[in-house]
Amino acid sequence: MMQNIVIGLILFLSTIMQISFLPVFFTDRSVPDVTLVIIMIWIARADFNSVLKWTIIGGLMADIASFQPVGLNVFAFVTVAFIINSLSKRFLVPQFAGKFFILIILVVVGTAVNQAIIGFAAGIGGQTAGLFRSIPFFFGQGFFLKLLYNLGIFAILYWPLKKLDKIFAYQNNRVIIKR
Amino acid sequence: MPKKFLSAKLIKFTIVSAICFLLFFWNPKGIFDPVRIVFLEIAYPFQKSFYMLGRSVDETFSFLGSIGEMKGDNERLIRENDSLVSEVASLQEAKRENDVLREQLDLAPRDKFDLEPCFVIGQDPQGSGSWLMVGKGSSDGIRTDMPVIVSNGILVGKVDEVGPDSSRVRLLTGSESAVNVSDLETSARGLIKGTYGLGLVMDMVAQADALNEGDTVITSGLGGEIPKGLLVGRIQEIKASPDKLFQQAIVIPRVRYQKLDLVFVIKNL
Repeated sequence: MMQNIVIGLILFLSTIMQISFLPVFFTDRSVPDVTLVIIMIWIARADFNSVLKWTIIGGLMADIASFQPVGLNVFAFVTVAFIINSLSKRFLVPQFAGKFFILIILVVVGTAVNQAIIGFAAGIGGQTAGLFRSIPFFFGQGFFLKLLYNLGIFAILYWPLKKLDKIFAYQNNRVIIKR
Repeated sequence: MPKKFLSAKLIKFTIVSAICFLLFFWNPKGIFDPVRIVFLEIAYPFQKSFYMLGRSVDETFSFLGSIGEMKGDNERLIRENDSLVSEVASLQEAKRENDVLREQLDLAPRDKFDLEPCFVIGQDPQGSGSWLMVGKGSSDGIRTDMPVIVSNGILVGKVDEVGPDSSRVRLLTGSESAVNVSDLETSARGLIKGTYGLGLVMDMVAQADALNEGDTVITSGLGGEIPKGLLVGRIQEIKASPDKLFQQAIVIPRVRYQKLDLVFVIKNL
């Protein structure tokens, strides 16, 4: 129960931060995707089924908070989660020292996929520009900055989230032993 | 075993994707409104605090960063002040002339608007620069399609979604935005459209109409949704539309939308 509250709170605050805090500093059209990075870190290290619920909730929060059609961010997040999880199962060997660097590549892939989905949806929703005209806007200079910022957020959040996972695992073990 | 795991994962992914597609394309209005209202009610104090905190941090860092430039700025400002004092006298005359011209052109009297001041509490994080979130909603009389301006009559966008205590403002630079405008100097009419947060394009201007670089673009009042005479921006470049049927002009907005703190919603039209 406590774990659910903590995870829910992390997703809620990251969503609010992404809409109301970070755009103040990142005025060059490239606000980092904090919620997405958090989900990518979790999904790369855990089982798809266990994180799917939080991926959907994170996407829902992003959709609702930004008045977007419900389903857009959920789909983007779930697709990224699916791809990252499949790739991490294939390439992330346990106890491998370069795990962090492979995760960096996965963050790059996840960011690109998310940006492509958002760009595609903007093209569908946009009345004044065609579907394929919207894509270059989402893969211009702003995309590389976003990539850079997402990697920065990843570097900041990776170890605290790893620590949190360990705390949760320790608590779960204690509960099992008590039973 | 791994194969079975993968298929279960794939099935879940497919089901969730299908539901998302259905929701996105069907886009049922109102189904998620209760959830949205509850969420926004909870989120509002956090959003407001986060935005204010962000602004304070940004201003502090900007201040610290500008200390080195202050001496030079101070000298420059003293010189500017001297020349501005002399300009004030001539501008007072221009103001009187402006009032007369506004009256003759039947432009909207800016001081007659019923304005609702709103603090900005959020912005589009997806990089398409298409919306702002403001801290007033239906409980303050805000409705969809109300125009949003900054204090001196510069149009920013219009309200497109309303929650109880917050609303989303569709910016002029957003890809879905389209507003009727005219060239103040030549009266050429057109439609101002956003280009994914990158800027504004005045489109659908007849080839016979005159457009000049540096001209001021104002709202034309056509359609009745937005009052006539609100300032939009200045023409930077003129070109032909891709089909060569119309003229297009790249318009530079008068304000940086990402730096807005306070906007005003026009409640009466």
